[in-house]
Amino acid sequence: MDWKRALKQGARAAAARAGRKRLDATRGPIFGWRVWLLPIFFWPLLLDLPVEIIRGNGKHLVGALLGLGLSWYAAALMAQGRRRMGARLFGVAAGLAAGLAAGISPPIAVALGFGAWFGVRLLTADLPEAEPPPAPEPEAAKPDQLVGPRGQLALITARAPRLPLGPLLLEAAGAMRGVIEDLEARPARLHEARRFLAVHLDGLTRIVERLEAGAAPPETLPSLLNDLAASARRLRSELRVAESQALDIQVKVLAERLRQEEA
Amino acid sequence: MNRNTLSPDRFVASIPLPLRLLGGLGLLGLCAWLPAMIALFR
Repeated sequence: MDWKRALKQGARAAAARAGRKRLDATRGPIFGWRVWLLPIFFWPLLLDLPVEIIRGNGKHLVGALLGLGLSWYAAALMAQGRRRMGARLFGVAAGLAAGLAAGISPPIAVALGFGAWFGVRLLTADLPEAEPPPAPEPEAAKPDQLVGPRGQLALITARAPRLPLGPLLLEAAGAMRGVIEDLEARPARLHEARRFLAVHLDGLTRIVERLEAGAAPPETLPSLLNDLAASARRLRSELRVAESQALDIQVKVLAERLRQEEA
Repeated sequence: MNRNTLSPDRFVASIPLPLRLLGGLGLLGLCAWLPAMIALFR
């Protein structure tokens, strides 16, 4: 019957969905017994450590220490989901422990290392591999915060000569260009000039737009433009002072460190 | 020949889970625990 077949198909689809959900839930760091069991295979090396210290056998001691340390590190890597890297490192640990601590001949020690690597792969094959960490974004990919201001300045300089009070507008725009150039050289100071970029430059752009639309300049506009230019010059000198202070502190710290090292 | 058939991942995945666990434990016993015991009792 058709409805029976439809019911069966629905049940099968629901089971498949539940299976996928379970699979998603298992993604993430692994702290299972299969990972932390691995260093436990080297427990005899832990007992071997004091023996080798008493005997004073350096090569065997180094082999035991490397075997224990690397196997623990391999398990820690696998717990973070880096399964393949952990398996390789565990193989190296087993090979070194066999070659140095147990004194087995190198070709057989290498073969034992490969055997241990494959053993770890077999044991942990169904555990999920973590995604490799994303590469850091290149500097050039960062959005340039000065693109907007540069465009506004270009607009003002292009339109100002045709407008009333053109020379004053150009003077203010020139002073602001100085600030932008300083900020290009020292992007770290951008936050200090945020208000300037947001208020002064935007204001000047709007004034230019209104004048272009045919507005008559009010009497107070020349003094405002002079104030804007003066404010831009002041900001530029403040940025320079801040840089000078930072350099001063750096020089003092370096001199102090040098003095301490010489003492 | 299809390259995928030679992949170690595919080979490992083709082994049933109980056999995989047993093989892994056996190999680790042979290649990690035995040399460590040799180091201890040598």
